[in-house]
Amino acid sequence: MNTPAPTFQPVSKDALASIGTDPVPVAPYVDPAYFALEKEAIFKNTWIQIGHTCEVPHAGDFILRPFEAGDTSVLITRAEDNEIRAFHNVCPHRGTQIVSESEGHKTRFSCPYHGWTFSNQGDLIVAPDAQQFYIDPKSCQLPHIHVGVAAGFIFINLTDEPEQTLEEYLGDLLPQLERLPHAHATHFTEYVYEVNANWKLTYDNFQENYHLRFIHPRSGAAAGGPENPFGYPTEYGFHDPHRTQRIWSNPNAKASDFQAFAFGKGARFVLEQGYSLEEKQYFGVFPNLFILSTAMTPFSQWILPITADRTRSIIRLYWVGADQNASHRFAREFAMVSALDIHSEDRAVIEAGHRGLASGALSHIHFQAQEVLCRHLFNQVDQRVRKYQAGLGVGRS
Amino acid sequence: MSRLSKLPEAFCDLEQFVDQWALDDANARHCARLDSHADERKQFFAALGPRAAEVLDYLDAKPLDAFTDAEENLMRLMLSLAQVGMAEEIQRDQEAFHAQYARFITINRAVSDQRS
Repeated sequence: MNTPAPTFQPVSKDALASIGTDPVPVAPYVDPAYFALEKEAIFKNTWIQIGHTCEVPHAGDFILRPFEAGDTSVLITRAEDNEIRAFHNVCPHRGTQIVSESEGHKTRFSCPYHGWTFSNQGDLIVAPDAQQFYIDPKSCQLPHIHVGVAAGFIFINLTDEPEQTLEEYLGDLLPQLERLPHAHATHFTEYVYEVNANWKLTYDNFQENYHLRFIHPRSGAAAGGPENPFGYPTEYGFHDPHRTQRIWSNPNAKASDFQAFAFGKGARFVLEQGYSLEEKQYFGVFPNLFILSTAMTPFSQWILPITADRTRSIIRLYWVGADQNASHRFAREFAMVSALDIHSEDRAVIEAGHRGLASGALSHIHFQAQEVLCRHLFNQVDQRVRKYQAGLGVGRS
Repeated sequence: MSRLSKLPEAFCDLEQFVDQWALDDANARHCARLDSHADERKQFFAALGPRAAEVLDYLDAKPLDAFTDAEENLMRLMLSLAQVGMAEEIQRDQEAFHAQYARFITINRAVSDQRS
């Protein structure tokens, strides 16, 4: 190279040792019994992202989202008072699921079984032949779920009384998230895939850069370079239960001609909207969401556990405003394609990792210092599972 | 412009690519890339790639919601070029390997799907 590059120093192993250095047990990544505990201790017990306000922009809009790790499906409505509400998609009469469309515009929801009809605020409006009941059907509402909105994202909490407000839960991450394009998005692009792997293994693939040079030698070339061959981040942040990292990128990386063309077409719009092309922050929002602040690909990945060995990933690119012209539309499409290509490359290795662990050949796995975010996720999960077990009086130790 | 033209007159030499690549939505374009033959991608990229800047300059002169059908086809060719450009310039000889895993991904919606 002609110009001497600044010397990159990864965050030191010693500085990261406080998060732990021991081998990590395999069972939490494959054991269905552990997953059952995670559902109770975490997914039914904390704030979980379920959608985005731009999915319900107008009064009368609704979305329905399956949430397997909460054993429910969640109806999100925006009513005439502009409030966003969340309900279990369950008729209080005999439990039938009421809504089957994944999104739409409706102010009333009728149960297909016996015609009980509810407002989008959850109140029962009609119960046919109501006088036959031994209760007052008017006292029956759609089962309510706690809901919160932060930085444009809609979160739910399945507990009867959340221990923290959503704002308390997100803590010092919240003001940083509020500055992102995601917080102001009006549109999004979404792609989805399922893998035969545990949700933590799926998430972990996106929490370390150690694999990039092996799995993404072409699509991820700009993430590494001679001074930082593994593309390690420049810093980590631990905001329990959440975590952050600042992504390093190679200042001397050579984009292909077509990449450079597409990037040039998109950059103007990003700058016009007041976002920086230098944003490279990664936010791991516990338990199953991560967000990249990169303005060209304003990205979130939502990792939804289905079973102990099956996971759905929903990837979104959040856009502020509609496409302004053909160049803008083309640049956004290219950003989506670039992200999708990288995701497709990860799939095989995530599944191979799960199969290897499920074989029972190993009792423990090893995280190096620069896999500290994977370790942090494990720690945060395991603390909650242990606390839940202790509450049941069946702690493991 | 002939009523039967699939593309604006200045780009009518690209008409042979319309049926395969000027598709309705992002997932259809994703699938078209995965189902395409290496020679088809190569020819498409060789024909449209060098004209990409000219095409966008032409289309940028009009709001998206004022496109004629021929202009919309041209826009859609450019959106497929985003897919094929990745295959040709980044994945290259690994595109077939990449495609076998990309098939598991479905694009549910894209901001480009909205024909305003």
